[in-house]
Amino acid sequence: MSMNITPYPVLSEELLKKIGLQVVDYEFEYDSGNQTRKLATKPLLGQEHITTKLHLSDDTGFWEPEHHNLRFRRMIVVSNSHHLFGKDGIAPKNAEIGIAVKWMSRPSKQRGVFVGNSVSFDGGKKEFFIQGELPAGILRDHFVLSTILYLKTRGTLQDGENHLANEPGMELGSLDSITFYLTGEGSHFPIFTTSDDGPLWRVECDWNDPRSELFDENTFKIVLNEDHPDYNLVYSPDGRTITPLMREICLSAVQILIENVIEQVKVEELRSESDYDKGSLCDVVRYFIDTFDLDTRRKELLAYSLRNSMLQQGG
Amino acid sequence: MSLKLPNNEEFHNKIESWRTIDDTLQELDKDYLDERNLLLKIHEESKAKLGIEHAKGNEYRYDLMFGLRMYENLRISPRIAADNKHWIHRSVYVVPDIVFWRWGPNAHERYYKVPARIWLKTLWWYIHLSWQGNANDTFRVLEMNSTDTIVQLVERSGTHGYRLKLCRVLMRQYYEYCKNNGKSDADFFRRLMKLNTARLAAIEPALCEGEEEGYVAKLFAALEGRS
Repeated sequence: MSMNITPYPVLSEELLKKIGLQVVDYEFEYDSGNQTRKLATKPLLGQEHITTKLHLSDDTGFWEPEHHNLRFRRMIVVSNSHHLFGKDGIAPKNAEIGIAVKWMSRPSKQRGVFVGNSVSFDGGKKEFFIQGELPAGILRDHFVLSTILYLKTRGTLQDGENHLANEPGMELGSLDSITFYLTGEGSHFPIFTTSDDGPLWRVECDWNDPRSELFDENTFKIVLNEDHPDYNLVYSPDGRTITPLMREICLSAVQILIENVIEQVKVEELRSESDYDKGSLCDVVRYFIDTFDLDTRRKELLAYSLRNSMLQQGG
Repeated sequence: MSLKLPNNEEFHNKIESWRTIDDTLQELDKDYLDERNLLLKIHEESKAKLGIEHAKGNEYRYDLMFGLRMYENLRISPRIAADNKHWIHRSVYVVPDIVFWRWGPNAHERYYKVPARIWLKTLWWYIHLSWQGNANDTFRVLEMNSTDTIVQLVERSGTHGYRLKLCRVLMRQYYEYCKNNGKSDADFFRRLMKLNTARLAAIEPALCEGEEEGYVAKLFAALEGRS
């Protein structure tokens, strides 16, 4: 649980047990017009057992980091905070420890920190609420949220406390660190918007080699036209359910994706899983075909089996 | 629009073949002509304002003027600006002639080869990390610096990216230091950035007393022997 090697004590596994730490999962949401929409976190495909790497996904497929903000909140409970203080702890007895969430994103070339509440020796059981918001146009690819403790206010060092950190701003250890992926595998659909005189939606497919190129916004995207008179029918008023129109757009787009990929790479080759990269367009199309038991022999059969499968699954 | 770029070998051969500015104009991306015209206008206006025809001897003055106006006019998000592909495309297929004018032939690292040194990208981030709320104040804060300041600031992003507010406070306090001393001091700035990097291993500036302002003031105090 400790970070770098530090000349002062930081949170240890033993100390974490003593303080009775409970962390609640992060909750995410974003603003869309005058609505607030929830975002879900899901394990990465094939890495369901890993809880420190999650895919951040929007069931409506609407959230775009370029055009939408991202808000998070989290609750943390520390039952026995007094163990953090004094000569056997990580801060002087009359110091104040703060909690913060650091966000870091190497692909976005930026990082920052959100400050939460603080706790003192006689604070007893304490619930920390911490939240933060990143504006649109910042996040790219993935980011890390790391919940940390830090020295908020220095204390007066007492006997046996000279080894403790006592400089405000010093990090006293990390409670956990989770990486959230914005693109790649999962149910993420690259959906963008435009404003023009054209039709309600279109699909853009742009790849050379589906075996090596990733399924992401660079290779495949659905573009919705905000100026089209039927655009307001695409999303439900509460923003939390998928409208029949949106479902049909997504299914048609998936159908186009599958048809284009299997024109280049035969289905038998896709099923062999031998000659393409994980996360590639081929990998994703193979996932669709196998998971939804799609009939790819003819286009009309593909269209039927895709919709029928969704119907059976309640989608 | 997604950008498809060739591999480094193709880039290498292409840039090796450019011996004059005219050579660079053979494969311009026609979808980006508006942006090209905008950047060419900024380029010409910057040269005219500085009264220069060549970059040599005026590198930083030109970089600052062109970079500031590019930053204001391109209007791209930090998310896009963090994507090397956009800058490589812009450098090779939109305004290769401007990059060539600034750096001359065979400047591979300024087009594509070294992500931290793609010239247009470094200029954008230099201005973004130094931005003081408006172009005039930003220009004033950066006016006394040199190309070495760009390198020291932009190439020290750290493992997980820049702390934007910290960079902006640091650049403003460095300007105040230079103003008080009547000159810029590249060696002092290098030492300042090194000390900052060392302290960031254990300290989060936003969580310090006085937040970033207080943290940066302590860096200066330490280097000036006031602490």
